[in-house]
Amino acid sequence: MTVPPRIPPALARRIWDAAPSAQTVMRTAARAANVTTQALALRDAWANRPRNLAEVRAQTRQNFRNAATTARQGSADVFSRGPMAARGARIASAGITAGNLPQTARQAFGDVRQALRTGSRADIDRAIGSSGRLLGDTAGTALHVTQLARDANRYGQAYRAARQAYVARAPEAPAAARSAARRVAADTMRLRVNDAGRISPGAGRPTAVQMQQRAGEAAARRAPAQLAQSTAQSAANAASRAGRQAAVRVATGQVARLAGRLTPGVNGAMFVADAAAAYQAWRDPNASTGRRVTATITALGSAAAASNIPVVSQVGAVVSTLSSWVGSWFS
Amino acid sequence: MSLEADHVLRKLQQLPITRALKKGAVALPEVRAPSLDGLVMTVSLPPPPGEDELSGRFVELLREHAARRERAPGEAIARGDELRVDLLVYVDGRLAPGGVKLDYVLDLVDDPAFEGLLEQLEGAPVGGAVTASVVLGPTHPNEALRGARAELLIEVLHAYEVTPLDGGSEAALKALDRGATLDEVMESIAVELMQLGEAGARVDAEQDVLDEVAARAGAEVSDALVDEELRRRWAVAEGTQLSAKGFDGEEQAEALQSWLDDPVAREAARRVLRVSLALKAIAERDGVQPDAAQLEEIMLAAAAPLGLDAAALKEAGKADPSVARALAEAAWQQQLVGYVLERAEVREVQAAS
Repeated sequence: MTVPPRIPPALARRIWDAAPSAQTVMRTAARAANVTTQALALRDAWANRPRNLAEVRAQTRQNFRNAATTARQGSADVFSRGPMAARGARIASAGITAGNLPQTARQAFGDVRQALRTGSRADIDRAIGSSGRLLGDTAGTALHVTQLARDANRYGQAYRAARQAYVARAPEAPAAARSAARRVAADTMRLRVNDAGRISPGAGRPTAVQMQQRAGEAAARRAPAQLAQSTAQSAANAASRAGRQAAVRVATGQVARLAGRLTPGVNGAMFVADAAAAYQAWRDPNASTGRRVTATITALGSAAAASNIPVVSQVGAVVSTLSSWVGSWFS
Repeated sequence: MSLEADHVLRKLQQLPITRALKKGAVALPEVRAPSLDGLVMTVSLPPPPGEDELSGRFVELLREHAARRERAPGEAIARGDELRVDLLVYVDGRLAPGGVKLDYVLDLVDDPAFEGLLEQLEGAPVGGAVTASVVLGPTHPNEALRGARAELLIEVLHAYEVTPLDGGSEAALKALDRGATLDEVMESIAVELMQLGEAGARVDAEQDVLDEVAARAGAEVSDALVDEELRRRWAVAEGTQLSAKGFDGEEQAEALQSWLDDPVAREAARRVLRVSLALKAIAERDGVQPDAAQLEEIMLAAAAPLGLDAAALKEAGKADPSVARALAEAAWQQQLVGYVLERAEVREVQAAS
């Protein structure tokens, strides 16, 4: 005989607490796709409806602490509560009407968050351990971490990740588009292969610019003029000041786009984190212009040279002439 | 640093965890200015995009140009939607590294990196909060977390029903505005990807030169200095938003701790500090002074992609002197980077893969 699953009592009470009224919960449950699960949750929610809020909160946290302890002790029952809790919270939000939604949802969200904040550090340590912690404190480890940090902070890494993401989506393209892609890729490759391995100080090898010329004037016109110009400049004289600024412009544009791709559960490059922060600042309607500009400039510095505005400059490296320049330029 | 970030940091400083971490003022190490002789900047150009990359980017463009309808609050989200979410990832009760994503764009499509997420999210109401228990699959980029069970907390802020363009249609070609034929569109995509790859390779090469310079300078950066740098970065990148969203001090401290504990983040911060210290020493030795024309040029070049002009920057700087200072410091840092890079010989090679 199958025992019907139970929502953990404390969570069930939390669900009840989050719902504005029994009627709302019932209506929502009736509409919901997974009626059985939701009905079970409602049953438990009703059975465990709170008498005392403080008691509920204490029990919720204790409940998760118990689960975490069980997890640490290696029980097979580790996460049987997890999925139930997941559904429970889902119902909690489904039971909220649009009118009173923001505050109630946030409250429920916060409570679940609190409940989840228990448990051992084992998996977290494992997560970051790949970057050295578990390998022991040896010279080899230090080298490994340095290498990882170096790789993680490379633009090329982000670019490769983006390219992998494209490859994954390729099968969705219509057949005609794939044929066109095949022709163009072969063409492009031929250009490169002819020049493979050649080391040159700058212009002269097939580049995006040359591709553009091959693609004809029409395509060149359609491509962003600024990008084309930047690439031409940096190819001609990459280390020059003009080249550097070109790199700044190009890199930040793309980095800002890549920032949105960073998968949850992985710490990405620092410049991506900075770009994401800038992106947030620009999207946040309450952000001051100052915060936007600061976040943006941080991201720019970070993307262009991996040398940010670190604590160093704030501790006292600013030369006095810079201060006076600030005084005059911003006046 | 912004006023908001400062505020968050001040609050954090009252917590036991922060007090424990902070032991007095952070001292800067002594650094000798390194030689700039014989620097080589090797730009490793990535291979051109292949058929699959071009096709995949084309698919993405169809989605980028798709018709979008924003769903009303309370409306159920559906497969294929584009979501804007606040998202937290817990593994075994702790925030995972990179586990805080705010105002994150999430496509509600099947993703083997998050097994079971689609099924649990589907049908949730806009404005609702959902917890999902998922297994991080074999394609999750954090190798160490693959196979682990993660609890995701997701608040659905906005949802958009997406109707992608039909890739075979004339209308799609017109909407993409990248050429009259599919071949022309693919060529424009190839050009775009190559431009980005080449610019990125150049940026990476610059990093390598700066690393070499820092290694020559040999600055020893203390853990305390790294802590301080990470705290500031965290406050800007996460702290302000977490605070605004009502995370309590303990939760914020936990989020900060996940940065401080991450050896890769620590190493990255250490590199940045080493480079900065080396640049500072070079400026002092060579008597490099802020150059008004360069500073202005750099600031304007940086602000242009965001639609900001000189007037907008000046306005922001006048309203908040800390903004003016941050801008000027960033530009000055870039001037010094340029000073070093101009002394490097540039070589371009084709990367193997």
